[in-house]
Amino acid sequence: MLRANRDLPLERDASARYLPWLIAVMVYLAALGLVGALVMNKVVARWSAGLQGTATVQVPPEDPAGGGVGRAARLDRTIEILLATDGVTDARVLEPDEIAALIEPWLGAGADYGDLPLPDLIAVTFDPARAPDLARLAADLAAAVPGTLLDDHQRWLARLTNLARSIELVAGFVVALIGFAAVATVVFATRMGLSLHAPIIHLLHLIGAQDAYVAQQFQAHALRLTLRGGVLGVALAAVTVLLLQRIAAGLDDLPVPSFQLGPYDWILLIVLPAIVAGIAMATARFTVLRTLGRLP
Amino acid sequence: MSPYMDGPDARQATRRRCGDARRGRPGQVGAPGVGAGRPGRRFTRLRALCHSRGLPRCRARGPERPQETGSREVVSRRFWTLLVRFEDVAFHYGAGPDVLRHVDFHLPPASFRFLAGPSGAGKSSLLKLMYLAQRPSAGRIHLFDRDVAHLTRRQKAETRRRIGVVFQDFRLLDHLTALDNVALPLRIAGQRSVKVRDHVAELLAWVGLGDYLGAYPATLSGGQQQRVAIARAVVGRPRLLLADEPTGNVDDRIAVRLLYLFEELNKLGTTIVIATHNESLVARFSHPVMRLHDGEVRVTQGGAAIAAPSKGSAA
Repeated sequence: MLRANRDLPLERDASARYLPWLIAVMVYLAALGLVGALVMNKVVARWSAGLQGTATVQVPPEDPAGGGVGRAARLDRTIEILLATDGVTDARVLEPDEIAALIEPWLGAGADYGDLPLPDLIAVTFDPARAPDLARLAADLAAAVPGTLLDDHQRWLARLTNLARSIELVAGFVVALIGFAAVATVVFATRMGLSLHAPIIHLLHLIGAQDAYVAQQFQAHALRLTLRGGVLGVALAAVTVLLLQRIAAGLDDLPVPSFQLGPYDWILLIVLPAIVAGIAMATARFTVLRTLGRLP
Repeated sequence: MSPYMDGPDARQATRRRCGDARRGRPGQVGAPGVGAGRPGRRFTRLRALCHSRGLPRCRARGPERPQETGSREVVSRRFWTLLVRFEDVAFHYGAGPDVLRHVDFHLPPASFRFLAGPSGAGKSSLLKLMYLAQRPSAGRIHLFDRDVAHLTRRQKAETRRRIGVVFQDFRLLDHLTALDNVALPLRIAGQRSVKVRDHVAELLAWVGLGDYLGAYPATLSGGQQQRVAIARAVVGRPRLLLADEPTGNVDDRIAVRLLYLFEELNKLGTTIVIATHNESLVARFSHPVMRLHDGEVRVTQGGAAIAAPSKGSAA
């Protein structure tokens, strides 16, 4: 029969009806933004990790200097220089099958590229802890075997990373914007509640209630509503992510980022409603204490 | 009386003696004209009783004792801790005329006063100043020996918890049951729900509403709502109880019963101030009356003026 700390009939307010839905939409969007940021973060991390400590050397099929040095001799000479370089742990000429696999996404499976003047590729692995001076190595290779190119992947990796980081930033900004909107909504709803229940709050004060007692009721109300909305929003977001994962699973043969979330990402998604509810609770408390503190 | 208000018989008897004495009723210990011949023995015993029972402070300092000046009730400030002291207080709403002016009075612990006067005389305004709903336009108000002008918000709240108020319009919360309404001060004071429920149920039974614990105010009659309001005002065992026209919505028989109820509380040491314009009711009791006239306070007793100083000392 006793309803401790529910002296204010906040459940009857209009905010009790609309706030959970608003929060659900906001949490849904925020969750998707967060997932976007997490996916991009993973892609960048995977690319960086995958290419760290590697480089590719392209050896042209013909001697551009016209010296008549054979293809095999130029490859041998290049390998020799590479293996002699301090820090290089391995240098391996890619097989035609491996080169075919690399260009398959662009030319399609089963394309006949036997007549194409494709360069020979040498995969170089070096110890990241004592990486060689790649600029000097490139110059040495070009001098010894004209036309040879050393690609450490950093140029295009930097551009890709830039793009991914930008997308990640935008996603983070969207999440922050949604958070700001959620805070503003809670502030508005709390102020409306304070105004609606001013006579009861006045009575509570006359009976001896501290501002914190009143604030506690508003913060509990905000917690209940936002938790309700947050759980709904995250549930919808989870369904959306699972659907996207299902669609992305059929695109494994294309060079698109994998849309997979790890266990920690899922945990972050699951605790998102609690985070939002915590922020809403703190916002409601701050709003009440600030508003009541201005009273004489 | 219910166990809630009674307590063990011996303890209650002691409290009554102590309460009556401090209130200074004519014909009883500590009252003017009684015990004046053997002050030392009687007041030593009184102080011992008060201290042993943890009752509101009776300052046992030196040979002080209540003083009397003719028929006027005057209690030495050296002896009593004053619950309420108004010093040349004036009050007006906004830019309006003074509702109260030059109000001077003080109330010792466990005293009982009627606050009488015609409608619009300023009774409610005076009570509002006492329960800190308004600030005086001029003068000083001391509650429980503290100047209220210097209280912080937190201290104000703490002070209000020591004051029970029966509002003229009851101010019950419609969405709460009678039990929840009465429990409000205890919840605010941070008491645990289980304890609160038992106390409140007993108190509601004491005011004759034992069968209405779960009733909402809208389903109660005016008199029943009033009793719920009274129960809410006294549930926290306030040291000062202010009631604004508490008998306004009940017939004379119920009104007298309510007044007896307030007297019982008074016997337990609570200072009572009852604002009323019901002169016939006031005449049935022997308690001093603070009369508001033209915004000033005069003190009378038994319908006859016993003191009308220029600045209306009421105690």
